[in-house]
Amino acid sequence: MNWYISLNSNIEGPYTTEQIKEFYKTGKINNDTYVLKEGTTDWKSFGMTPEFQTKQQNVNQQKIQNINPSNVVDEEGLCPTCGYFAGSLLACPRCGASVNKKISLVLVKKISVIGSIIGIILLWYAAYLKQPITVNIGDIDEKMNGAFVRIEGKIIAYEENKEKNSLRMKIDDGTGIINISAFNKLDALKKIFKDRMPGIGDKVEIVGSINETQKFGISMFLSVPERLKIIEKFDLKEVELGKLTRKNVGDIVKIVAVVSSYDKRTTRKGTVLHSYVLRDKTGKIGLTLFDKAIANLPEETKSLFNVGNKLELIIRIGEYRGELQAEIVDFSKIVKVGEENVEEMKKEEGKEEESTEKEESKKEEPKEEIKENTVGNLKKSDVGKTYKFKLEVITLSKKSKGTLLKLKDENGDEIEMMVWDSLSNRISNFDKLKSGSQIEGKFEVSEYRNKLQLKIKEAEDLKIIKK
Amino acid sequence: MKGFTHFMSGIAAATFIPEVVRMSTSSRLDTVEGAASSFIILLAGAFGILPDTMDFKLGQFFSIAEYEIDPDPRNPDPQAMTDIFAKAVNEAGDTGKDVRVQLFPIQLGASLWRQYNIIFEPDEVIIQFNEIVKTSQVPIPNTAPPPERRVGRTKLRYELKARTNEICWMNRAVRWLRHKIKGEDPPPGPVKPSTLDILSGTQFAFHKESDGKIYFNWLPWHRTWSHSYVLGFFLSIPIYIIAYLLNLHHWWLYGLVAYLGFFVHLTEDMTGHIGGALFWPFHKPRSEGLELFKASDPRTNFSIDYAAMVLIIYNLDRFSTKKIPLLQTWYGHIVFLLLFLVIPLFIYFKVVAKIKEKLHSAKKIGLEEPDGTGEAFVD
Amino acid sequence: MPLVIILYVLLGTVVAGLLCLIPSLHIYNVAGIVLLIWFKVRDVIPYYVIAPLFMSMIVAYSFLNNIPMTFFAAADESAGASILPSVDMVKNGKGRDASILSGLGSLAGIIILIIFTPFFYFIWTYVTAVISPHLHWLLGIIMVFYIMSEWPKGAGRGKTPWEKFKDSWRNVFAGMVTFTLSAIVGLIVTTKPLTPPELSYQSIMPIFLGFFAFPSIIQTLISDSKIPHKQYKSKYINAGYSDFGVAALPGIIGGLIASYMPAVTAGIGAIFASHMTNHRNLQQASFEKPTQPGTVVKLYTPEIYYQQERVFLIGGGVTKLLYYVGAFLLLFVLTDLTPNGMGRGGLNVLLKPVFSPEKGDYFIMLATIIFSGSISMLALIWFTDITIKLLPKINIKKIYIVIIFVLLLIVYFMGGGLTGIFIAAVTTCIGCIPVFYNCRRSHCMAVLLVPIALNMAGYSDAIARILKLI
Repeated sequence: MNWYISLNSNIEGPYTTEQIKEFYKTGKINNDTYVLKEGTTDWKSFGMTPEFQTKQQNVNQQKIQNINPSNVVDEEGLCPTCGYFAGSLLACPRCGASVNKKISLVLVKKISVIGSIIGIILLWYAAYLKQPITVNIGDIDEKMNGAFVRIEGKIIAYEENKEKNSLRMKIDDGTGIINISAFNKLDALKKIFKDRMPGIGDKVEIVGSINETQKFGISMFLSVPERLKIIEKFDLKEVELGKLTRKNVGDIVKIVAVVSSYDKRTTRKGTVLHSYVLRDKTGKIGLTLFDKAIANLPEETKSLFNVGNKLELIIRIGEYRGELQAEIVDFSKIVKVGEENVEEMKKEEGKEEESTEKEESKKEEPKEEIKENTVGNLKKSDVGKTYKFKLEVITLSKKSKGTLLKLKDENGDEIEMMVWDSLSNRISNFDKLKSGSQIEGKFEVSEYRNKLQLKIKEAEDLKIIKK
Repeated sequence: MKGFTHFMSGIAAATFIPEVVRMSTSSRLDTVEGAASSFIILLAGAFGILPDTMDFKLGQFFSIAEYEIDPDPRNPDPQAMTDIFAKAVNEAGDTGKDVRVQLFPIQLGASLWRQYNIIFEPDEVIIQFNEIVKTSQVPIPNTAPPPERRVGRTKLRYELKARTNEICWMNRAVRWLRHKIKGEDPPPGPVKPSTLDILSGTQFAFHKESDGKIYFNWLPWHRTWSHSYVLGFFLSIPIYIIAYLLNLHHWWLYGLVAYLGFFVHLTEDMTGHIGGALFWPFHKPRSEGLELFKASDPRTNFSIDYAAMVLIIYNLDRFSTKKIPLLQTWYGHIVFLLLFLVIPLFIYFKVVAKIKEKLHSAKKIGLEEPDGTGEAFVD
Repeated sequence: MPLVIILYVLLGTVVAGLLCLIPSLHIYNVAGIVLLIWFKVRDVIPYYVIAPLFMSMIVAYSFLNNIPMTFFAAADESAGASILPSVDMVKNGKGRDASILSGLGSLAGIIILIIFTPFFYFIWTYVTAVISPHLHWLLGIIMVFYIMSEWPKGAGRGKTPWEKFKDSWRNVFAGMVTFTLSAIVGLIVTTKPLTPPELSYQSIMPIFLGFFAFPSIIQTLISDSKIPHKQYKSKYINAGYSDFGVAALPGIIGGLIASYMPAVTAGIGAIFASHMTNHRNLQQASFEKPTQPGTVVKLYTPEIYYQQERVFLIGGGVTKLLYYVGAFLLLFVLTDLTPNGMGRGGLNVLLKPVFSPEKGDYFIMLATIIFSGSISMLALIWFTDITIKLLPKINIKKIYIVIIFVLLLIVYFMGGGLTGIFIAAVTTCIGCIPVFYNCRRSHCMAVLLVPIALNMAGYSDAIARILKLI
């Protein structure tokens, strides 16, 4: 009797039975090697071939991996008439005989097709009706990456790139700032807005998806130009520095002022800061520029900040450690209108300072009568109004940029209030607040996602009565 | 060549047009003319596999055979099948008409098929049933039918041959070129059997020639009208029109790129064993190929795929991104192509091929393929 | 610090490893839940362990997911589209081999990641830089080839060309329908997402559970097939170095494509790799062997079959590891060309808002992968043996019914309540089409592929206008 063996995808042979046994002894082949008896067609592993089996091998036979031919073809999927594979088909593709299928399978097949078509129509309709929720920028946290929302705020920075056909903006809604990018959509925007393109100071609404990374913070892509709308065109006013108060924080105004002093300093972390003082006849305001921010400016723009230059510029009024600060909104719109003798101005400094202080004390606004109120009494019509409240803290939850307080009044009615980190840092003992603490203060009633909320405007407005 | 190879070469060819690469660059990272970036290169890929798609997904259904053989899945009878074959061959010989035979696969599971071979001897047709195979065409052990129902053979009254005598001017030109490149054709060896297992069936056409012998043509519908430079041109016309109507930037490039993909496919196919009907409908017969590579040869296909990828990256950087420092100087281009194209391919052919050959050291017998065997689903 | 990292890596491996044994639960669902927990206790867990923790989870998943994939997948011929070799092996009592071979493939994948480190830094970064402005059309060519390469599964029976065409095109047509419907869903939910903003980081979850998890469960529930209880436990796994050699190339190519291209899964990557390397013809070399006595042609050696099984499983393991782990590891390849890394994949998207990598993290990650991978491999062997023992006692249908409820709860509470359930229901219907009409399931990935490609090319506004979803 002759044998063939299969080694490394090669067929060797024919060999005699004795030769094969010799190969096994010498280790050329093992139990798993396939052998074929001449005249047959089925390869068997050496260990499974009766001619070579010892008793021990018989016992092990089960363990030897092999394919059981009856397992290969599954009758379940075959046409009962001709035996051809029908799979999930209801009629045999070969002989056309109807193949009995379980009702469940027939049903699932039908439901999947009908369900997907109806489902997609409903899905589209739901999306069509969907109105995106308005969120506060400061409220956006990591879980909202990709969220489709509406944002309403003021444009505080605006940059067109005609070469790349793109637009970048910064929007401030009072709770935070978000970057908006519109790649390759400048033309489309200009088509929509014509000569009324949005600009700095305009109040706009933008609908889009939030993109958040730990490294670059939050931003939003404006991919559909129609989703940008101007709510209120900004009307740029020229103001005198002396008339600016805390209330103006966040405003964008035009000023004409002289650069009266310059100071360069380095922070502990090594950041280089350039501090300027801008003055006009009525007052002064500080301006601090990061070295990084002006490093890339063209030389002629940098030279605008030479002491003594009288500039016309658009600034956003900011606040730093209780002092008002100017923030340059658009370097390209700074115009030099003249030069003035700084020394002379400085001589007058003393007088001026006094007079402004007096003025300020005189001007102190007559205090509005603020009524006390309870949470249960609040109605939708109260939105925008300010009341005095006495409240107890139920829970505090830390968000990425603030603390959300859940509060209740003496009647047990509950309401939420978000205290941004920028404010809470200035409230004494804020970090000692805990559940059960009592607070009082003047808070504005606002609406957020269809729910009434309280809003705190100034750090001084909140007082902790019981820690 | 295989579909993927045609696809990749079409795309690589399109990236040689600088304007095409520039149009395709995304605006987020680079400037671009026009409103949004273009998908123009897809046309080169899609038209690159279109000829075969038309054949295998469409054209074959229009070739209706005179005889159909659809074996019984439970109990296939090879003898009955060869009898039909013999009848068809004899009929072609007796009447002088072309007779086609369609064979169907035997599917036994979602990915299980019964494999069988068709062997044409000069005077005999043989069918042999083999193991059940997976969709990957690998047989499952211990599943061959019993010896008594494995082989069927029927004698023929006419002699069969695998190469035709009746050749047209185009075929003569191809043969001339082939002889210039490769020297004279070797004498024909025995014919390699055809295998039928997965997916769609196969078709043979029998045609009596002037010498009284019957020429058998495998997949007579393949690489005929679909593999024509002329058809490619007509198919690209709608692309020009659509691009023009959509007011696309450089609308005329769209049709051109589509045609380029089509053109590359047909030209690549000419290097194989069967060429195409390049000038259909003006000149209908299908010509032979240059027989430089086997269309299904994995080594050739892989090298072309790899080369296409390197060239795509090379062109993208040259014409748009400009990020590879090596490509900033003229000699850098040579270094780049040497380093990433020539040397790797050299290593692949010399080293990997040797190792593979050792691993699969098949003691090959000089088997001659019938026209185009082995290109069924893969080319 | 290193000790703390090791502890968290262990924790990640164990948690993910155990949860991944639950069939149909994807690691990204687990990661979503873990992230939610992390939001609550972020002050307790140090920042620097986030990356190693999640990395160890995804490593453990790549290994241990082989168990449910192998043993609990539906092997139903009457409804199935195709049967994976692993399922086939379970039928023949070789489930243990299948599970362990896939694991060995993933282990090989780890070695490949180590070897490829210089390649990632010095070549892949350039490739990334060059092709990143071209990703939209590269995704496009993946889609075009993917659709055009699906061959008709029908044999083309019929009397007229039309009948033949119809018979042949059933699956191709089903594939195109699935692709189109998935793409429409993708375009709708990306143009105007329905998920509530505070759950947006999980917005894709109900869609994917619908496309992939629920249809599989439905398929198992309505099928009659049972898991064969008898599984052999062999002493040796029959695999040689050559198997790894043959499996490596397609595994690497498929894995690299899947890990680099957004929205391209391991399955789609593997299709490309197989078209590129196609070793089918090498195996057919045996065609040209001397004939066996009694037959006319061809004498094939059974080893080819087993080798192919092994190569498929090992290659699959390699691809899977590169796809899941490699995609996340690429996030840590920080160079001047890729200042934000080259990360892709679900985990990268999930972690982007809370974490950004720093130079040097790459090697911590690599160490994490090696450590977690070694434990996972041992755990895989151990759990496979336990599974084999438990198989006769398990009623998979009952388990799946429980899982349906668990998944529904996850969708309800983390995927946006009833809106999430609705989205999951629609995508489940679409996901059932490929399962019951025999075409590739990855057609459902059009839900990401199409919107991403169109968005990258800058067509989002045109889509919004066409869909009237401004």
